[in-house]
Amino acid sequence: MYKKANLYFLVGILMPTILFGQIDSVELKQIDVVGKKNEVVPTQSLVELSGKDLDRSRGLSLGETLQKIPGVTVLQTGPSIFKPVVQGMYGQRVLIMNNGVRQESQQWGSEHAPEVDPFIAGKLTVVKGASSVRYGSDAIGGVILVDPRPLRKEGGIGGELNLGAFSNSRAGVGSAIIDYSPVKLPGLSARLQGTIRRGGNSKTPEYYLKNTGFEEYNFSYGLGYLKRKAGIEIFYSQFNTKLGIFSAAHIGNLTDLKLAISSPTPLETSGFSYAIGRPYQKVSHELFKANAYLKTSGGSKVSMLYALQYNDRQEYDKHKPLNDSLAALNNPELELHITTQTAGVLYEHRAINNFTGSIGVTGINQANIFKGRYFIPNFKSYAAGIFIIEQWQKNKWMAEVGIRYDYKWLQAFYYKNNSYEAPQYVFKNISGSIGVAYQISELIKIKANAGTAFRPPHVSELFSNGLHHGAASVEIGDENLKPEQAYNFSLSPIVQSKRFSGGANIYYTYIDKYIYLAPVFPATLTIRGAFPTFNYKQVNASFTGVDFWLSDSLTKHFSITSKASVVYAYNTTTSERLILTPPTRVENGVTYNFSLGKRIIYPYFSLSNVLVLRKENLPDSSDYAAAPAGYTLFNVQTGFYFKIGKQSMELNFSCTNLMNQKYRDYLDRFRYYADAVGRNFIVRIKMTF
Amino acid sequence: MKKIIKNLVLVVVVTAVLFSCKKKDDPKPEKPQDPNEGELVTTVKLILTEQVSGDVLVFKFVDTDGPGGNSPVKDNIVLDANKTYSGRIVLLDETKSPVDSISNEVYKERDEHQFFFTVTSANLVVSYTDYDTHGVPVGLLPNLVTGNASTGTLKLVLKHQPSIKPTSGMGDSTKGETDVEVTFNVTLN
Repeated sequence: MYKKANLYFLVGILMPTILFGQIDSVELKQIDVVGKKNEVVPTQSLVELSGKDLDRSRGLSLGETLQKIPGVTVLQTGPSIFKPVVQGMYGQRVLIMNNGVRQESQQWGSEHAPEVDPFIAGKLTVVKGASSVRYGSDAIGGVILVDPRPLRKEGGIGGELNLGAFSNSRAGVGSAIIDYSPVKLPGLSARLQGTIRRGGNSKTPEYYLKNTGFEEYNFSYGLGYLKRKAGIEIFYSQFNTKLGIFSAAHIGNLTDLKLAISSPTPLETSGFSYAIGRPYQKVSHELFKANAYLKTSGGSKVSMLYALQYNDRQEYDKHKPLNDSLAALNNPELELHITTQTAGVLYEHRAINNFTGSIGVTGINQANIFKGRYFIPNFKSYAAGIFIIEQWQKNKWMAEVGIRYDYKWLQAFYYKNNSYEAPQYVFKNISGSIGVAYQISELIKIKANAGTAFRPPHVSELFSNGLHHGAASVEIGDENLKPEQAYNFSLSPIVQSKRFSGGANIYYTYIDKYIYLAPVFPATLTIRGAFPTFNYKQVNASFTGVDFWLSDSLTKHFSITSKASVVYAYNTTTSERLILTPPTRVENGVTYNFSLGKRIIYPYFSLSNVLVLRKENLPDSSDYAAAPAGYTLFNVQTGFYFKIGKQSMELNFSCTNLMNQKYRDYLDRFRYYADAVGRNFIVRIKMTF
Repeated sequence: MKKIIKNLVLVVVVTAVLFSCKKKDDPKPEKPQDPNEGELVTTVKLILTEQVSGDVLVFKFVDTDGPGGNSPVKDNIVLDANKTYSGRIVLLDETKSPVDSISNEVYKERDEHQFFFTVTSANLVVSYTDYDTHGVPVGLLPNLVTGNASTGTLKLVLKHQPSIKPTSGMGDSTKGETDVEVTFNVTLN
C-alpha cells in the first residue's frame, strides 16, 4: 500500500510542479468574494477562517491553525501533535467534517492529531456548541468544517503554490494546487493538490527536544461535472505522517515519571537532527468521496453522498522487544486499522411561504482491527440517523427548529483472561435544537440557541484495559457506560459596521453522564513497578464560558484586534473543577497598514500579544504536577503583495515567541518533561496563477 | 499548452482508476489477535546459593497476565543471618512455549542494561560481580551478604539505557526506562 502511495505522491506533486514550470502566460484574476451565502447554522455561533487570515497561518497543522479562532485552543503533545479544543471540549466530543465527510480515525487518544491537510481547505469553520441534529452523534463541543474551495467554474487553468520555512525546527513546507476546466466542456473541472512538510528537532529557549522531527506528505484530487440542474463530483485525499515522539517523555513507571518531573531539564537531550527514531507514530488516512445533486424546476434539491475512509495508525515504542527474532521484525508495538463507510441523502425543499428546510438520512458502518499490544478491541458498528430541520424567516426575525433520531449497533471482539468475548450494544437517541436570530438594528444582531447532543461511549471507554504507553498509566474501561447527553444554551450578540466588528458567544453546556478518567488507588502493581491507574466513570458536568472578539479600524492606517476565551468546567457531582480544560486566554493585536511605492502592494506590520493565565482551583492530587505558571508571548508579522511580470505573489515574514520566552503550557502533555518551543522565524510565499 | 492540459486530465483519471483497486488481506474484526503474542516479562526469579552449604533458594515475583488484571504473586525472601549468598537473576516470559528466557537477551545487551538494588531496613548488602564490556556493572549475578537478624525490603530495578549507559564508574540509576521493578519483603533470622 505504501509503495502505491509513493507513486501517487510522485504523480500528484511532480506533475503540477512540472506543469507550472511550463506555463508561460497565465491571466491574472482578482478573485473577490462578493455577497454572503446563507450560514450553515444560522442561530449558532460560527467562526470562519479563510482568505488572508488563513494564508497568514499556512504551513501549520490543523489544530495550530484553528487556534486563531476565539474559543478554540489546542491540546498538545509536544511540538508536533495538536488536537483542537472547542469551548473546553476535544477528542470524541468535537466532530471534524472533512470536505463534508465525518472524519473517522482514532480520535479517542489525546496524542492522536486529526489527519487533515489544512492546505486542502479554502475555508475552516468552527460551529460552537451542541450540533447533533445536523451532524449526528458526538458533536457535543462543536464541529470543525474543513471545506476546500469550490472547483474551478470558468474555463482555463489556474492554481496556487505555497512555500514556507520555519527556523525553529528548520522545517520546510511546500504545497501546490492546480485547477483546470476545459473551455469546450463547461461544467467539467479537475483539481490536483499536494503538500510536503518536513522538520527536525524543535528547540526550546535552552535546549533541543530530542526526536521531535516530522515528515508529512499529502495529496488529493477532485473531478466534477457540475451544471446548474445537476452535478456529480469525486474527491480523493491521502494524508501520511511520521511523527517523532520526544524521547524524554517516553517513560517507564511511576518512579520514572516522578524522576522526569523533578528534573529541571529533560533527562535526555540532543543537538539538531532531522532523523526520526523510536518512539514514533506513523499514520496514514485515505478518504474517497463521491457526491451528486439534482435540482428540481421548483427549486428543491436532492444531494447524495458516499464516502470510504481507511485509517492506519502505527505506534512504535522506544525500545524493540528484547527477543532478537521479535526485534528483527521491527513491528509497531501497536497498530490500529479502521475502515469507515458513510452514506447520506439530503432533500432540501423549495421555499414555501417563509419556510425553507431539509430532511436527511445518514448511515455509517465501521470495522476496527488492532495488532500488537491490546489497548482497544476489534469492533464492528452500524449506525443510522434521520433528521428534519425547518427554518422560518420574516423581516428581522429568523427561527430554526430541528429534530433527529439516531440508532447505533456495536459489537466488540476480544479476549478477556484468555476467553473469547463478543458483547453487543445498541444505543438510541433523540436530539433536538431550537434557535432564533434577530436583527436589532442595521449594526446589531443577536442569536440564541438551545440544542442537545448525544455521544455513545467509545470502545476505548468501554473496553480499554491495560497500559497506555503515551500516558504511563493503566486505563480501565467500564462495559456498563451509558451514552452522554448534553444540553447546550448559547447567546451571541454580534455587531458589524464598516469600521468595527465584534461579538461574544456566551454558553452553558450541561452534560449528563459525562465520561472521564477518574484516578483509583492504589496504583496497579506490575513487574515493571507501580503505574497510576484510572477508571472510566460517569458524572455530571457543566461547561460555562464566553468567547469574545473585536476588530476596529481606528484610522486609515491603524487597526486593533482583540480576542478572549474563558471557560469554567465543573464536575457537578463532586463540585470540583474538571482537569484538562483550557486556561483563560487573551490575544491582542495592532496592525499598521502603510504604503511603500507602486510595486509593494498593501504592506502591513502587526504586533500581537498572547496572554495565558495559570489554570487555578484544580482539585488536589488530580495531576502528576501542578499547573504551570501563566505566560505572555509576543508575535510579529509583516508582509505585502507584489508582482513579477504578471505573476501575483504574496510574501510574509513573521516571528512567534519573539522574546524567546521560556514557558510551559497547561494543555501540553509534555509540560511535565520540557519547556515549550522558543523563538521561531517564519517566511511564507504564496503564488497565485 | 493543450498537450499539458490533456496530460493533466489523464493523470487525474488514471489515478482515480488506480484507486478503485480493492485492498486485500484485510483481517476480520471477529478474529482478534491472540492476546499472548507480544513480549512480556511475566516472572522474575532470584536464585540464591549459600556459599558454605551450597543450599539453593528460589524467590519469585510472577504476573502471568501482564499489567492490570490479576495482581502479581510474590514470595517473601527469608535468609539466614550472617551468611553470604551468590545470586542469579532470571527473567522469563512464561506465556510462550517454550518459556522465553529474557535474561539471556539482557546479558547479550549488557552494554545497555543494568540492575540496581535498594535495601531498606534489613542488614543486607548487595554487590555486583558481573560487568559489561566497559567494566560497568550489570547485576545479573549479584552477591548478597546478610548481617544480624532483621526485616526490611529489597528493591530490584532493571534499567534499559540504550546508548546512555555510562561507560565508566558504577552506573547511573536515574537514566533510561524501567524494564523491571519489583520489591520483595526480606526477613533475616
